[in-house]
Amino acid sequence: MVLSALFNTTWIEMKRLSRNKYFIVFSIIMPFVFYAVYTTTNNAEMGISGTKWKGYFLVSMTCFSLMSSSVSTLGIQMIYDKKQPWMNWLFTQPLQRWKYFAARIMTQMVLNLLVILFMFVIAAQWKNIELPMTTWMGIVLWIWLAILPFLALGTWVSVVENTESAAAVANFSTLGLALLGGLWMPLQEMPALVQIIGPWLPSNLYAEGAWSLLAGDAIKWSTSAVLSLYFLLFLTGSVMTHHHFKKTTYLSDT
Amino acid sequence: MLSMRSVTKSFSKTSVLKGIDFQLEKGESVLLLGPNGSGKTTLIRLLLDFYKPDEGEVSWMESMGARVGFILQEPSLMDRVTVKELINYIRSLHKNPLTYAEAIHNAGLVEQENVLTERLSVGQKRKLLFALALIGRPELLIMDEPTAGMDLHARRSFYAQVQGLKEEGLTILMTTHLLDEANLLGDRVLLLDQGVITKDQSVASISYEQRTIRFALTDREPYSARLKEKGFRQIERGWELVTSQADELITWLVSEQIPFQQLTIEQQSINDFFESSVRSQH
Repeated sequence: MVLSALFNTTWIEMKRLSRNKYFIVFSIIMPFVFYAVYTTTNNAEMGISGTKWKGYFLVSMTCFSLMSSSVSTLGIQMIYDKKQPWMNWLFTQPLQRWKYFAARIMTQMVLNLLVILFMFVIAAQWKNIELPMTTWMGIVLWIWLAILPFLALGTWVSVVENTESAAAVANFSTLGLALLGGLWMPLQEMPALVQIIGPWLPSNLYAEGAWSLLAGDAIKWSTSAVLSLYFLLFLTGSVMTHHHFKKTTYLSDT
Repeated sequence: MLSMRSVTKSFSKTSVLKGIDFQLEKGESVLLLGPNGSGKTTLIRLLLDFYKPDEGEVSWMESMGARVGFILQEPSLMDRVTVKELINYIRSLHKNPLTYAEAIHNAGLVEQENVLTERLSVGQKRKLLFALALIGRPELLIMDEPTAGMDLHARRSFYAQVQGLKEEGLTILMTTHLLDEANLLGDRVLLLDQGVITKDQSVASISYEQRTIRFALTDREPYSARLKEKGFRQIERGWELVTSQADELITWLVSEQIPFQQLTIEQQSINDFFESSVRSQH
């Protein structure tokens, strides 16, 4: 029953998320359009960090897509759902809360994988990006698994009570982290202060792992270690804040 | 089947439930009545473990397990899924669920099975909520104002379904504002007012024990004192009294040779019971 409830909840949540216009626009259309524009207006064959712009920016935009989906879509959707009476109703059924929330994370992971494959297959065909299969697989796995800190950040954002405020927080953090982390423009071309701060941001560390693999290098242990610390920080923050709000929430309906 | 003992619940400094005691026996159909803000929804939510009581305890019969069906007050359903997808998902959570055909038949939404839930009307949402609550073959059905927003036709169909479930032995606890539903669906009425259960009695006893005596009197003056002493209250063209001792009082009127006219004896309706009970508390 445990696996069946998890699987069935994941399946229905995947259907719900795939029908979410916000997810389609911000996690699929927008990153792809930006990729198309930036690789068409710039020289796609230009060399950067040991690789070519067309591959480098594909990694950047795929990382941005998954960050946007994991922080904004997941966080805002969780706030919206939390306010819906059906959510309480669902827990009167034989379904424990942890299973439901685990299914939400699994849903996000499955759709993230589909987004990565969508971006990579289309871009590789269109821009003729040729890499050894092991390199492709390494990059896919890294982008897919190293998203965990951002999923934790998404659940942390979901503690904000008001959907509009949460959207502002989520979009500000996603866009801010993407910009300052060098996902929109290489850090080398950013102001000196950003070049100092940028490498320590989770967004840069996240993309940095994939950029290293793209250039044929190994992922630095410090990248994985600092990103893991971010994961622990966001997860702890999320759990503690949810716990605090659960204890102090005032429910007025009688 | 379930009981609440000395349960209290407050939100911030507002005391919503103040020492609730009641038991629900297997096969009973109990209506929870009360004015707005009396604590009905909080009581239901405590039963469903949405809230924890501040004091007291809520006990369930051990074998109940998960076999409780619940219908929300709000017609709220998981969105961006079709009726069919939602029914099948809820079925997948239960060990021995109704078949899809049974569930969609209960909902009466065969033609809407591929419609997204957010596109259903309020009445259709309520029908689907009812069908979802029955999917796990519950032994106890808890309903929080389930007919709100239903048209007359949908309401009649709902009453027929609930009557059928009662005949099958399902235990029912239901809150309502529609007092006539108590006559139709309830065996017992709990009256909740300002967080306290002020009445707990069978529907039959409300109808038969309490009766209203009403009569006209052409010359009031000589009899006023004696009638008031017995508890009668003066109305426009005579006197009236709600009592559980109607027969004795009529014998008394005759023995006192009071020249009453147009005597009527009415059984008390649920509406009268509700109004008089709530009025007497304020």
